[in-house]
Amino acid sequence: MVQTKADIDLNSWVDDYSDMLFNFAANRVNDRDLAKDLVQDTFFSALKAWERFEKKSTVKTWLFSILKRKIIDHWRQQQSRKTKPISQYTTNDEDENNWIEATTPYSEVNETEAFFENNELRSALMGCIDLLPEKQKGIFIDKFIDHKDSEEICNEYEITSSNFWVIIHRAKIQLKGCLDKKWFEN
Amino acid sequence: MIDCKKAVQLIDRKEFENLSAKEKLNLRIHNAMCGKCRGYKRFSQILKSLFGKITEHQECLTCEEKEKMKQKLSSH
Repeated sequence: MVQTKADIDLNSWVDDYSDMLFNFAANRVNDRDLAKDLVQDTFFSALKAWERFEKKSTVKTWLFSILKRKIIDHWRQQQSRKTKPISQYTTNDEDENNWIEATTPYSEVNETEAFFENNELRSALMGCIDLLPEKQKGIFIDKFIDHKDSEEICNEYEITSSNFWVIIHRAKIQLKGCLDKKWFEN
Repeated sequence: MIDCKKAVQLIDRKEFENLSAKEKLNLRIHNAMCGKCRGYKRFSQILKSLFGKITEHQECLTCEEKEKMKQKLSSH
């Protein structure tokens, strides 16, 4: 049966899915207005593509897949706009050698718990996540924020389990360096 | 004894998975002798706690924002 745009109850889409989509986006782009725009764009894209939606998945899953693509596009644009080298936080070398940097400082991060409720710390952490390379960022967020199963992430990104843990480790080291700079040194 | 590469992998895995008794023992022995890996373990715990707080924090749109969104969508 051909579905038309008239079949869509847009109000119920917004009521049912906007908060979930918005929370998902906000955790990934660290910018409330941008997250809101991405959700709105997701609805617009879904509206345009509605007649092609085959209902092999639920509307919710479909909307999330559209939003994910938009977030990835945003990350890509953001990466290409960066003028400063981010090599200090970035390595594309996922070779399993060079696993632990001998010179990485593991200085103590004291009394961090006291800052838990502090939005600035949250913002700094999300800002540091933003600096991670696209693939690393996606994998890290899937694991630490969405609590996805490691195996599921490995399948999604077509990486081995060993490679997965290398990526997680590298992301943590980069976050540590970034947080030390952005937060703990101030 | 396991090396640092193996130890940090076990530290990362331990946050999400159960390690075998042998892995736990190897990690304890390694950490007892390696300050760098102990530091990494501490940082990993802190980071995980921070993320726990982030996921507790749920962002929502206001009613006004939802209404505006509905209007924009319906005028499209």
